[in-house]
Amino acid sequence: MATKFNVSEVLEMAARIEATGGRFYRKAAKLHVSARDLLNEIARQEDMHQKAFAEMRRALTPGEQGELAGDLYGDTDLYLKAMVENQSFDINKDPSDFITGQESLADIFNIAIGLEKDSIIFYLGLKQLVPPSMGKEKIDAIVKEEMKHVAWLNQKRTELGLKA
Amino acid sequence: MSIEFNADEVLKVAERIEENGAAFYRRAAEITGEEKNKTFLRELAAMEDDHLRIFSEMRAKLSDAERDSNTYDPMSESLLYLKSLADLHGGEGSPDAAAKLTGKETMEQIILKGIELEKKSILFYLGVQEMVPERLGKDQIERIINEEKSHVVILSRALNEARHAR
Repeated sequence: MATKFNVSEVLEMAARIEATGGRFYRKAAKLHVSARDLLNEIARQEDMHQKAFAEMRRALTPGEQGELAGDLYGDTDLYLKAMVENQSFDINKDPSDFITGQESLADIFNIAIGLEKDSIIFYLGLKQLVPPSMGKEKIDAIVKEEMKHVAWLNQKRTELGLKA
Repeated sequence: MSIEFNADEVLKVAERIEENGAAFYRRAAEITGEEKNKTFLRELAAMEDDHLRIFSEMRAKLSDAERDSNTYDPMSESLLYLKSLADLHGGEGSPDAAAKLTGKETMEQIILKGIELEKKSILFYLGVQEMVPERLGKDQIERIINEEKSHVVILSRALNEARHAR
């Protein structure tokens, strides 16, 4: 990876986070019937987010594509790097690979909530980077949906009497 | 601890997060040897003090109706989101990170803990932003979130320096 992120790269990372997140939830849904509907619904929403990020990336003008991250308090790039390097889970790895088939539903929920929180923090950095013409409100909408996922997962965990 | 999720309680948790954050940076400043690092950590503590003051002022301006726990739908997603974070934080908004410092931590370890605390507070304030009454100034919460993000940047820069100094 280049030493400094550009907008195109960051949107590509965001799309990848969503694509692998969707795979994670689908794999988890096959394992646990008691939470299947919820996990499949979250997977469906992650697919929508993946499409949204991919479309934003396609819509970048040639000039915007190579734009370097550098406008968040002097360094969006550093923020994003901190997010990538200090995440609970490696952003470059596919979290569905973590599922061996032996995980309890509590394990799945813990991993999922960690992934959702990491993605929210990452997208807050991304928001600083996308050109205003693209609509920062699209990122806000995705952040709000990820917040809902945290709420849904925690509520379901409580309903099922599972420990955090 | 059980938290009634009205605006009053949520802002109290936000205040506690800032108090704990400031206490962490002050304690870290005490245990670190270099004067430059002490100054840096004390500056971060002062910024958290400023956030604490803003949250306190917002809470003081709540009307009686806004303090009423029945004002809000307990099943709203914003409340469920906040509750999930509070649950994960042991119901205290944030663990008392200052008390956990043994005095033997390196600057690198302190910075990594600081980044973790900043991320937790950003996640919580996103939920606070959704539920504070508009008239109290959601833009103030946005400003605090942006400042916590800037702390992540400042801490990351310091982390790079600490690693290069090894």
